[in-house]
Amino acid sequence: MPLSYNDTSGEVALINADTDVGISYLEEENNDQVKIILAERAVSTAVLGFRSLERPVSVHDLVNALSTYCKHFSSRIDTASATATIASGSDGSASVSQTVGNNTPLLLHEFISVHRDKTLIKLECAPYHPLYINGISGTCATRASLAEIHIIAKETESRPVVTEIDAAEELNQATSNDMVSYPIGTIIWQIAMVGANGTILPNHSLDTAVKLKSLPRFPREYMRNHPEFLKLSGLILKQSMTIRQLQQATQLDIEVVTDFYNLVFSLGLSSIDKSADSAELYKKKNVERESLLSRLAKKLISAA
Amino acid sequence: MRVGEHKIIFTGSVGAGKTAAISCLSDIPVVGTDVAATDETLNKKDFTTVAMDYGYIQLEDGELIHLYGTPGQERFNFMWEILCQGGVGLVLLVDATSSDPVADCEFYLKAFGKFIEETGAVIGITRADIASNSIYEQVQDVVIEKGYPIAVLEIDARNNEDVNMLVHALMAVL
Repeated sequence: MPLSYNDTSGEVALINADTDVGISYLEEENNDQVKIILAERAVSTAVLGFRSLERPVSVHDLVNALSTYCKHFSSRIDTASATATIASGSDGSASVSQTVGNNTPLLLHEFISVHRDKTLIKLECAPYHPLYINGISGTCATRASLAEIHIIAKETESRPVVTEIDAAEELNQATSNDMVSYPIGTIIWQIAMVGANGTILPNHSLDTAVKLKSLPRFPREYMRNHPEFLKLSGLILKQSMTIRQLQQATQLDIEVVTDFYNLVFSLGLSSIDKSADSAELYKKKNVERESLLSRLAKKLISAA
Repeated sequence: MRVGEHKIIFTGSVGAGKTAAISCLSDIPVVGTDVAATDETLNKKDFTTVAMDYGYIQLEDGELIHLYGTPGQERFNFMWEILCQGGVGLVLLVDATSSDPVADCEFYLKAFGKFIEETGAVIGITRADIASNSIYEQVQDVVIEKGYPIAVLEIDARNNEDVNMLVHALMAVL
């Protein structure tokens, strides 16, 4: 797959890999003008290292495949001097600086720093498949499952090894077959849920009030399985609340609430409400409505 | 049909999935007012809602949560205010494949602005999987700019779990 960032001319070839002619083409050293080769097959399995699309290839499939390439083409940057800084918030009250390349205390911190500083790293934690994290496109490509990523996040004895990679390597990996691309926010969220152990951010307290600016973007499957995050998000979308108040309002474990608080703040999705009087922050819903909503929630859960 | 005080309103442009979403939640088959489309709606579907869709969720104690879907066409907007009376919250569905989904979103947020301020709302982006571009961030930006405490989710309006999730999100902000 010849890729040259400086040469914008070229072609996209869609090859029928179920024919001898198609296979021959894929085996050849291809023309430099062909920038992207996609194989078309009856089944969507890799063929000679090329990404394949299952027949019939719809326009939508093709657009998706090309979008993936374009997204990674646009992510090229010079990462040679990248130094990651984890800043916990816009107020700068808490920050931890570290150089990418060293092992770090928490996998979560690696993801947050890549996300903030828009770097590209490869994160290895044998025996699992490496994670190729692109802070520019906001994606994490890997063959590891989410369950395996959870295990990596929880791992305490064998720290992940982090190395910087260049855009070309990241592109090659991310677009190869069988690689799953996760939104980085989703991964950060999931890792935080299992790997941050409920430790509150430095210089924050149980009585620091925050308000959510927007909801994190989660895959549907994840949201379906974690309605508590919708509840937490909903509460601080509407009003400023502290960790203590969120815990009281939801009756969730304090660790879960703290991880949620850490994460939305670290991702820049929430802001501290310094003007708020914490004693007055949480305006409890009226009893009648609260009762109605809880009964409706019960009904929806039973229906599901 | 007795119009109770607990209503959830579903709105959005033609073909956004309002009828499908109510069908997912309702304990009865949706009472619709679909007629054969004769206008530009015909480009999207054969039938369209001209007055409202109605369904309900019956709670354990027999109390009903009424579900109303507004007609999508703007010319039926006189119905919207009537349907919103006594409503507890709004579900706005935005069709990601429409010609200008962000403008659609802005339009409905403005049209239902007073109702949203008095109650609460959630936005479900439908058909995101077949849209050529993701509009999630743009819709999110519109919501942030307007300062509304509204959750934005991508859903399949035909999927019970997705619609359930959307209503959960609505309940969280009410």
